Amino acid sequence: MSAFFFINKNSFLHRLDPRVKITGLFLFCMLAIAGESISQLGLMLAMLLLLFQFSKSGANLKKMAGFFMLIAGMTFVMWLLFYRSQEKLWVWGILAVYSGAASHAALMSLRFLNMLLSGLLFLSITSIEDFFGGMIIMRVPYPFAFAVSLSFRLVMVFMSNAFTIVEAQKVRGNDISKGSILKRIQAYMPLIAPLILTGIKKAETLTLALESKGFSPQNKIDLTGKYRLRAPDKCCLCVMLLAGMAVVILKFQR
Amino acid sequence: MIAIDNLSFRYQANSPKILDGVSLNIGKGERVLIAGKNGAGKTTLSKLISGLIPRVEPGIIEGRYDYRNRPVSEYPPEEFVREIAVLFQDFEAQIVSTSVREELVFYPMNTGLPYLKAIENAGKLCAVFKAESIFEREIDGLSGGEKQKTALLSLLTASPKMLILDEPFTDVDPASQVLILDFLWHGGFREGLIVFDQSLDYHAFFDRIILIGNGKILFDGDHKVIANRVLLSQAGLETSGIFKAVDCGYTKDSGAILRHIRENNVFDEAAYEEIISTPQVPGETLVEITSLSFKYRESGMTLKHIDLQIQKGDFITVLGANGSGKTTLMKLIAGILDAGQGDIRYQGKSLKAFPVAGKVGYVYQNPDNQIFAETVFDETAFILRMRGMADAQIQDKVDAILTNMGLFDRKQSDPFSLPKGDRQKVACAAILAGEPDLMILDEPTTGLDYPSLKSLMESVATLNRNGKTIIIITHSMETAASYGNKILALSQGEIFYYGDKRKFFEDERLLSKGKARRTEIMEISLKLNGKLLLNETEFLMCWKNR
Repeated sequence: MSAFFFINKNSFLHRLDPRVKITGLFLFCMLAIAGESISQLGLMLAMLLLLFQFSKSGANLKKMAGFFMLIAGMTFVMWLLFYRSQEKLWVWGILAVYSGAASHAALMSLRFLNMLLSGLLFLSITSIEDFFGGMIIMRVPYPFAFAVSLSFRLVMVFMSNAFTIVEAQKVRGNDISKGSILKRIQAYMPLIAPLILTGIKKAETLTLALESKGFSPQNKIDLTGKYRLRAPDKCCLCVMLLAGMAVVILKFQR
Repeated sequence: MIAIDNLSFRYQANSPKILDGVSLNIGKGERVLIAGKNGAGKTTLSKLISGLIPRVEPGIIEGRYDYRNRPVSEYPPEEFVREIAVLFQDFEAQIVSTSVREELVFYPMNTGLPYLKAIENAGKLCAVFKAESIFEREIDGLSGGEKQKTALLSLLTASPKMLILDEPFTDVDPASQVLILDFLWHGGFREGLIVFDQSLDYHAFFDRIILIGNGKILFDGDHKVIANRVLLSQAGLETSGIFKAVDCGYTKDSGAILRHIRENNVFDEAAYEEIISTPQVPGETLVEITSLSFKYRESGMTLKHIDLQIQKGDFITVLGANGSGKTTLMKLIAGILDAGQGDIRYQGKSLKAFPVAGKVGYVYQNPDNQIFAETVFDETAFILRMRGMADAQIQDKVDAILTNMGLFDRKQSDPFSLPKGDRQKVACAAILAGEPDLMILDEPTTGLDYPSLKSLMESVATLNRNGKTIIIITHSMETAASYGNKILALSQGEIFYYGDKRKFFEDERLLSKGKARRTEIMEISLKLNGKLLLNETEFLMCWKNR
């Protein structure tokens, strides 16, 4: 099992400078938050899906589709039941649906989905090293930038470890994917001790590995010459800057 | 360069000494093998020499350690990490980047080199060590051997004056094991080299051999120790190669060894005939695989055109280079992976319709992935309790299994507190409780010293004699030569040999394709009279004292 989201392709988006990608991620999150109608957020969703297609990252979209739909669905249901307005449309015990709840729930659900998809697109086209490099040349302090990239590395280590442990327990007939909810919860118990133990061991080794390779939060990393803003990067930055400004202006005009 | 005088180390004031009065001098460019069994203090000594103790792992140090005539404690950490580099046993965990290129600039950049200079140096280093083909690749797609090379190259990027390798041969195939040492030597690495290992198999690559046991230096000298059974036994090590079977004192000259055997021993033709004519009784078919193909979606690694029949009572050793598909095939047989194209039948029933969970036991390379209970007894009883068996029955059954595995006196012990060999046995016992007809063990001897390896493999052999069908995946030629009746060899996702073990080791082309090699005993026996003897037992049976 691969725990990596980065798909190494040679698309236009992959070739962009990491500074552009990080700026793009912020802009997309900002757009998702600023979007005030279903049509605006729907348009953004369509654009994101096109970008997945364009960057040949559809495999990740497929991999995460179920999880994202679950999150979007849950968000929709929660807002549908807890949104309050003047007029009650439907009442069942303590549950009630008010007028405007459905459109608001759809809006929030789309907003959340767009933010998740923006993050996934970013991880699909950006390697951890480029993410880290981008942060360093954007003057993010080294300890913070390294902590962010290290957390991604550790998640990968833990995920692949967890996968092996689940597999090892499944062979013993302890299958977490079968049986009632209670049985599944019980089946998770034997996973905890090996997960913690091997997780600690891996984290310890990683610490030693970093130390043995001279890592220190006080280090000055010189990435001069690694990244260069080319014409397509500058164009993208200009477009994003204009789009960002347009959103801010439109938001304040109202 | 390294001057250690009467050095002792313990983690806490009330804990036992891990290293006790170690004195050691290692000169510039010297190649030293430090060997000892599990728990001898090898890894602690490697961490001390490399400065990770006490910099990262604090503890109580007594004695003196100077590097280049200066106490190590006086070196700033960023200066010392450039001097001594260390490759861990778990080299995969040491790789901190996702691509080879980035991995090879991480170390120099953290020692202050600008990116462009670091990448230029990394490119040159790859050219020197003939590793250009992996330079642009991602870590995820590398084989085990390539990952080890990457981890090693990553250390060499900082041009260390001393390189420490902690058990570098455990996870790689025999061809890659030699490759690592050849790789360093032919790549022109002439600085100091210290290798910590549990065996003396590659002693010929080194200038000096040190034995360590219970945190003390037991021997420090030349190659003569290879034939010193008493001393090696004290250190919990096995005599290397031909010296297991021949007591002639150490010599590099194979001609002298051959002369010694011819003068002092006589070949027993009758015994040899008996060995090679041991009939292979065809048993009932347990597993039948037809036209199986499988492909991992992410890595693209494939198995192609697999046809295989496993008979009940077989003891099969699976060999093949890293990444040849050994583990994938075994996971398919165990039902852990779902078969792609083709069919796997277990006792005549397709796995697609009848899952085999519980009938095929799979013991992972790392027992810590399986163990979770508080006592050895509970760990073994887990599967029986899940099946709802009565307590009295569980007691009897678990006791019988633990007795069989040599763990009965440890049944109330915390499994995590046991040495790795015993933890591996606990993992086997827990699987055995499910009464599988077929047991698959994935590299069970990895990281085990000789006494633990022998004890585990004897337990496995007993299971086979009691009727269990056994399959082990291994990189150890000694294990393959000593246990099992059949070899299953894979290369690039295809089975290229399945059959009699002796025939496999007789055929040079098969050995080369499977990245396998003959043991020294096999080579000597062939040189003596052209008749292949697989292991020490066969050698002693056939070459009797005059």
